[in-house]
Amino acid sequence: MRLLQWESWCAILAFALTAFFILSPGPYPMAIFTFIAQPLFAIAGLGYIVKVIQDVRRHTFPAVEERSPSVQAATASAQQTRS
Amino acid sequence: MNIDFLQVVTVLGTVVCVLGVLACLYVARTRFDQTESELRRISLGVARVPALEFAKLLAFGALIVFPAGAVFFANYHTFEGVHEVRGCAGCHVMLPMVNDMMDPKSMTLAARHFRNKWIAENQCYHCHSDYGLGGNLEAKMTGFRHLARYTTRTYHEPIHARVRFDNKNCLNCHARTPKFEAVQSHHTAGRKLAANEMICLNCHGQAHPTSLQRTPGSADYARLMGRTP
Repeated sequence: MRLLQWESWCAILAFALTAFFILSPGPYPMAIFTFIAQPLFAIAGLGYIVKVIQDVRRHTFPAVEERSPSVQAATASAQQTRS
Repeated sequence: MNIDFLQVVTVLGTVVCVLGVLACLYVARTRFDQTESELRRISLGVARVPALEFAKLLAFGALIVFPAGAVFFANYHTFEGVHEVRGCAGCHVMLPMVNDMMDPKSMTLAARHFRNKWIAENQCYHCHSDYGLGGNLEAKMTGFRHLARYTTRTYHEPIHARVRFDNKNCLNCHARTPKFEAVQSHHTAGRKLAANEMICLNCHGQAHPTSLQRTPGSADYARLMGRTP
């Protein structure tokens, strides 16, 4: 699965707009950088951080079917003992 | 070879943007769930790292580090650019002020400062250092509002300053100079000048062309709107 696809395309667009402003400064490129490129960078960065947090949580608290066989067996026996 | 600091920033900013695009293209094509990419190793010259770890590291660079660098260089460009006179002249509503300042026959305060080289460079910024993108946070917000209104063309000519001009901009250079101290009225009005209850222009005349001169259709409008060289 390509996990960071839309974030990357957002950032690519933002990089292109930023480069345009850096190479040809003026009021319109400045407005494009300020009001479009910077928010795009922020959206891409937030998307990346959300995916990282989801990934960390998945590895810290994996679903039962994603756990290793030994952990799955231990969990099952603990549930049986409780019941 | 004389290399301007702004040119270095331009080159660095462009390099960061190009590297960012390349890194993003790599990240966009990476399949993070493929197990073979965990086994594959990539040589970085000094070390061989698993492809998946490399992709994760590159994703951090592409989406956090490179954007931060690009934003830093572009903002540096913004805030340095607004110091220059051509930065102000970039917006056509400012042309009457800039053209008048450079007019050798004009008797406005800005023109006299420019003609006599009382301010060597960045003439607009020197007198308006508390206003627009070069000023404090509140002034920067005003600058962004101006930018939004200019680019969306939601303004009317002639433009009017919404803030009161701070005498500190004049006094920063003039206060305590022998010529300034020699004038009795500066001492008489000293407290009022410091408190901005009275402005320097009350006695020293017009700083820029009047609103009437800057009104489209007026006799001076075409002359004032002539492009700067």
